[in-house]
Amino acid sequence: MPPEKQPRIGTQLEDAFKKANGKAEAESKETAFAIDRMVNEGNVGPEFVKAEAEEEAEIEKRVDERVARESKPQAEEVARPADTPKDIESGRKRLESEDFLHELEKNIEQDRQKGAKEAMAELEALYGKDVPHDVRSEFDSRRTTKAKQGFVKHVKREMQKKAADTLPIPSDLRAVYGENPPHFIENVVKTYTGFPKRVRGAYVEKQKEKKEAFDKEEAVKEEKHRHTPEKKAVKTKEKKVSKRRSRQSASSAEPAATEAAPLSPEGDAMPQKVDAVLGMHRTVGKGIDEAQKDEAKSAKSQPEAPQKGESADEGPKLKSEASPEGEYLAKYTALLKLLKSKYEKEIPKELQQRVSAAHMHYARELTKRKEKRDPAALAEAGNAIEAILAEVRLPAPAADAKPEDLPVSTAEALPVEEEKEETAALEKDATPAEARGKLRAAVTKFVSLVGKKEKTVPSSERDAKWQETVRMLAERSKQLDQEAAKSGKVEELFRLLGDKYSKLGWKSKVAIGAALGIGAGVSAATLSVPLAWTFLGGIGVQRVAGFASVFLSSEKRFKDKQWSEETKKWAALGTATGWTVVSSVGMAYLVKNVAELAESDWAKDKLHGIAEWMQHRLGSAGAPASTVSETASSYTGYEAQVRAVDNVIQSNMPSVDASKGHGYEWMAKRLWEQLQEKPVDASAYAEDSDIRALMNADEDSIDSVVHRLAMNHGASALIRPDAHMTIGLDGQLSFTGEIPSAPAAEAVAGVDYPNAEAEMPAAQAAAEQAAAEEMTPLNTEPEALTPEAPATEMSAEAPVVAMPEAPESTSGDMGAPSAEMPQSPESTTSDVAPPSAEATTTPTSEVRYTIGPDHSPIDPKVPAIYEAHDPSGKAYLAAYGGTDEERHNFIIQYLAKPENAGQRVRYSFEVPTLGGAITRVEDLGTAARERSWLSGLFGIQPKPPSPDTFLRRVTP
Amino acid sequence: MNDELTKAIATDLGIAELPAEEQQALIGQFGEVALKAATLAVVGKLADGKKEEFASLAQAGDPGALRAFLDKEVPDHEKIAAAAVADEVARFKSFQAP
Repeated sequence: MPPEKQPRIGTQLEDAFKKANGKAEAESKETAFAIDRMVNEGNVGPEFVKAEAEEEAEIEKRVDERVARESKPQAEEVARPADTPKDIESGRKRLESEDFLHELEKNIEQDRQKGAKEAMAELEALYGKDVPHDVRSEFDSRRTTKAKQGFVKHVKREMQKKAADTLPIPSDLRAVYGENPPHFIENVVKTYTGFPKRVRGAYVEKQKEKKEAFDKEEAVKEEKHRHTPEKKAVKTKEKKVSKRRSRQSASSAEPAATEAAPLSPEGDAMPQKVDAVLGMHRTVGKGIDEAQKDEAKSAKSQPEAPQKGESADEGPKLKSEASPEGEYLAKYTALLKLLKSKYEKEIPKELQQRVSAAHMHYARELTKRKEKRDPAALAEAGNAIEAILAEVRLPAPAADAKPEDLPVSTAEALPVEEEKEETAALEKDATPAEARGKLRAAVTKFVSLVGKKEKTVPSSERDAKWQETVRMLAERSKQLDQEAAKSGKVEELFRLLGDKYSKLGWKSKVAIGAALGIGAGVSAATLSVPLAWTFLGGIGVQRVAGFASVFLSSEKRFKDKQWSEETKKWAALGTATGWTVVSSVGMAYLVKNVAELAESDWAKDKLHGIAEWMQHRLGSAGAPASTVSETASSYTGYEAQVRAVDNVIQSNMPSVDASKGHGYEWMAKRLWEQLQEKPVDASAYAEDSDIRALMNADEDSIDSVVHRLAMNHGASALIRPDAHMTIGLDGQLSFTGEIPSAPAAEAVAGVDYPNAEAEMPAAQAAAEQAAAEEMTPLNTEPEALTPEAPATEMSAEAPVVAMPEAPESTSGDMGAPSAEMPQSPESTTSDVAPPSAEATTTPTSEVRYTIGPDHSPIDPKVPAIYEAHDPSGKAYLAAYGGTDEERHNFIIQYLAKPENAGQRVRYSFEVPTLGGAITRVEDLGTAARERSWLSGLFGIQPKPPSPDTFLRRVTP
Repeated sequence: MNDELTKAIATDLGIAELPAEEQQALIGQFGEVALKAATLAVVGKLADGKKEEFASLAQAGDPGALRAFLDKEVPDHEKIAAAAVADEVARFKSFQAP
């Protein structure tokens, strides 16, 4: 029989546990009621009252919660959001996790231990520290926390009774309570003696009336209990404890009928499927144990195991005093365990469906109201599970195999003893909460193995399909590349496309899809290749966000009569159905319409307001709206909107202005600091973008990161006072204020402005010179080290470079962060020094730094050894220039020379890692000391050598 | 925003039931195919001399200039690209079909 449509298993379980909790609450409430009555009658002591009051408060809370839950079942159902595929998948993974169950068990165990400790403490409080051995043994014999707590309460009451025995009870009170006064008699006596003698008679009479009423009520309940064995009536907690104790000591189990609750109580308004699960819970205490005994026998006498088809006619073979539902549950539980042990997580799909269908069928039959329930149909439904159990347990026998030929080992597939122990534990001392916990674990496991999977394609099959799709797309991409190659002219463009696309962040890829109309459905006939290509450059995603904001802010205004009919129609759609539709329609359509709007006078007027609103929404503090408006108004249509949005986006980026004594790396580091305080979603940018590098950096790595960025950008040593650094729309560092370098002026001194008059018009040269004169002066003036000075001798005595400002200096800041830039006196002259012969003859645009009085260039392409200083002023030898390999080889050659023996040279190199390349700094040399193991442990390493810290060139 | 877009695209491609990670992978991969297909379809309508111009404009990442160029050279470029993308979507969905 195909499975009928069922509520999701999670809902069933949730509701079932709610109902189970409800039943427990009802029981507790009944008990509480009896106690409450006793309290009102003044028949209990203050300690008891306090303890019960706390428990009562807890019960009240739970009841209130339940009432609140059930008072709005429909509303709750409606309000409950549907599970997304992601939710389902994550839930499935969690349920499949062994850790989940282990955690559950661990928590139960922890609670148990905690409760046991508290109970023991209470016991010790009663006896002092010398708890009698037999009492302690009795206490220890209680397995569960509840049992231990119950035992302590029992001991307490016994002690009170004992005390009452020695208590002189007035004769008139003894006449009321007889020879076995209740444990709270002490309080009664106290109250009695507290009254004046003249009213004691009335008090006794009242107590007598109460006692008679109570006895009568108890008798009625007892009678009712006898005639309605399905309902588990609870008289008092004392009786409950006694009953449990007697049950423990009894050698044979009580008739299941006295324990089993009805599976579908009259008038139960809960969903029937829920009742099925609940019904199993209600019988768990009894049925499993009895059924498992037979199951064990059945497993051991394998040839007698029921065969498929046979059991359907004969009904359950499990003979016991357990209820039929208990038998079913036993078989069902056994089947789950067997499936788990036999298939682990790869239960065949067909089997999953069969188990699920059989179980649901049984559940439906079981939860029919009594008058509608057909016992035969129920038995047949139950037999289906038994048949599957028998089938799964046995290996597929040969057609002619006889029962005795079946391997005995198959019986071991079912861990009978383990189950017996587990279920026996449930039966004996298990409290309702613990039983629920066990059942929850069992059902949860089933859900993980079967329940969820029946609604989704098995992971193995899905994975195979997914991988197949991935391969198909890769092949299709290659085909298109080949077509592009045939087309000619655009082959290079396609190669670029592939390279750029692969580096894009996830959001950019989604934006490209949206721009191409994917997700807009078949009715949307709009897309934008230009926009998609823009997104490919990493800029577009930010614009999408901006446009989305524009739309949201302008949504109401779209109704304005100035708009075209098409726009109004689209706007109406967006207004009616909200943001999802906007997304579905696609950003390209949005752009198109916004562009149309932007051409109108209204849009131009409102653009300012929109930009302001966007600034507010994006939390910007920069980019004055006037700039946006002005910029936007200088363009029209689409371009205007793009510019406006770009401006606003840009205004949200961190920015840094130049300051005296600080250079490119310092500014980049300030950007990083701002990003720490106000993070930007870097996933919208390419993986190799500067913003990603900054966002991924931490305090330990930021110095090397900004150094690498400076190197990548060929940062100039010269920075204007009005220089400004920010991050562009493409995620790359955007720097304005660098002194442009003419070819001949590339080899400028770090403090000298290039001699560019020959290359520039006079006016421009004057302007540049004026700018150079405004540049931040160096605040350092170290004593130049002589080339002859051995490096090893300089280190300790190297001057700490902290020099006063030199107002007369015309030098600009080196492009690096060092504020302690050492410079020779000659280089700080107020005149613009002509480039040295060496500098002018260095035909490379890579040379950005010079060094020493002769302004010898520092060429990043050529390895050389320099003398440098660290932040503390200590000098050391550093290798710089060339590739990592070239630099390394150069150091080796340098150190191999006899005159360089004993020296060590520091250099930096990049190490590829999964998270991207990182810069490492190492020392090489025969006398190179290993860095402290602590520094290695904590990843501490010196800063990479930087040209702005170089004092002189050591090697030619 | 991206969640909404992702849902819409996943639904359009018929992969909404897949786990999020797998959806992202396929959407990302499909986006590249769609962009190539749309670009190729539009470029196919250009004369050889114009193809280079298109390539330079596309690489420059200036959407305004590229749009103006296409509006002039291939007036119905949106429809052409849409048809190409629709073909790719259909191809993808047919592959996904059991």
